[in-house]
Amino acid sequence: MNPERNLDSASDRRIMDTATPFPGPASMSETLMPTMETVPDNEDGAQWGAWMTRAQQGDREAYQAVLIAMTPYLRSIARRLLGQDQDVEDVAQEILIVVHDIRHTYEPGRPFKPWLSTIATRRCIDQLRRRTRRLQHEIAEDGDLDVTSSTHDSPEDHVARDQSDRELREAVDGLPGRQREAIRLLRLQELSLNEAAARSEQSIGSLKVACHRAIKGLQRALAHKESP
Amino acid sequence: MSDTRALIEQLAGRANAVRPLPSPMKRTVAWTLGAFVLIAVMAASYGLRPDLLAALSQPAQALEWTGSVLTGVFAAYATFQISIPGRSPSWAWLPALPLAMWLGGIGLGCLHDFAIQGPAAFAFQTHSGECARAIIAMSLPLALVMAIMVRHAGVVRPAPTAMLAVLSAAALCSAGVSLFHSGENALMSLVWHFGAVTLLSLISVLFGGKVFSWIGHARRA
Repeated sequence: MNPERNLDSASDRRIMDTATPFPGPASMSETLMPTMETVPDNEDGAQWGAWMTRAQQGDREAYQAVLIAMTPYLRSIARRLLGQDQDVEDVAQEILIVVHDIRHTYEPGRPFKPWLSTIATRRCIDQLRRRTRRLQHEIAEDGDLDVTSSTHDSPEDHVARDQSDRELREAVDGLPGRQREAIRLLRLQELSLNEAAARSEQSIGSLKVACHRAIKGLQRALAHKESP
Repeated sequence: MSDTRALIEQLAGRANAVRPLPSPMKRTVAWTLGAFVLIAVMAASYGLRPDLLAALSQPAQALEWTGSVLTGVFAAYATFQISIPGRSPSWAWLPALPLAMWLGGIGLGCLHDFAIQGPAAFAFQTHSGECARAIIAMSLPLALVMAIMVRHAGVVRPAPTAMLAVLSAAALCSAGVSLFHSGENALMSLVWHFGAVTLLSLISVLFGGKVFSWIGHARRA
């Protein structure tokens, strides 16, 4: 069984809601199995809230269950606000990280979905802002490139730029593992420190150090290549 | 999507027990008590103004002082509510009534001053600017403590939370400064007390997002 595939269909959004009370660790795999049993949507929140309450007490099985169960819901919010594109999965992951960071703010016994949807909506709005900024930046850059390439760029310039790009990629590849990961996550993918820390399993402090060292390393490597 | 599944496993794998936040009411009580203690220490170190009881026995000044205290307390409760995901943003309006009470007290004071002193009641007193400086100096550390208490607000409503947090701290400090500083007319109270609180609150709207991105969970969008 592929749990990820199973959780993507609409009926599977209710997968986690068929088990009440919450099953013990031995029955987790059974709980993850898809089922056609219909559960009213308003029970989702109650079940998720119960799992989150147990997760706050340190129950990792319950925590995994609630994260898995909420992911299709997060994707649907992201799709509604952002449209269909590759950002949806990234934003769903961002929301999961934020939920993890501030899971202590869920007050047991209160409705879970308003808590979750506020976080999700806010992250989507932030993503929209980021996208707008990126677009503005790209439009500005495109304008600059048009002028440059039409009036000044010679074939030699193109070759030189391609070579610089290649040298940069090689220099990044030549970095030690943790530094390479830090520079890719923080600078090339432009993730935040929290996101990068979650993905890389490095602490924020060690990521900062690794990134700083990576930049120094790149400067040295590129300076060395430029010098005759 | 397999990335998402891997992320969930990572997050679940290191999910230790966390203590849920106490209710907004409990947090408001804790915050208010802490602020009262700090302000009382400040007031005691400067020495209470000799005419404090006489001043507070006047309806206008009593209304003004009570309004500022209630603004601080209500703004704190509103801060603790709206900083939590899923709570109604309408809580942000909670301090509106005590704010109106505060302004009403100042307005009443202006009329009272004018009835006694005539146009001289509206003389500009630059020396009263010390009040504003004291309010700002006392408010900033208190507001920082409040911001740390609601650092999770960065992913929800950073700007309104920052504004209400600063409003709470500054209003309580304004009430505190009134305990040891005297000799100003109601108009100066409007300019230096209410003005400083308003200015600080508005500035915090601009910088709320940045502050929470430094100390909290908000990421720079």
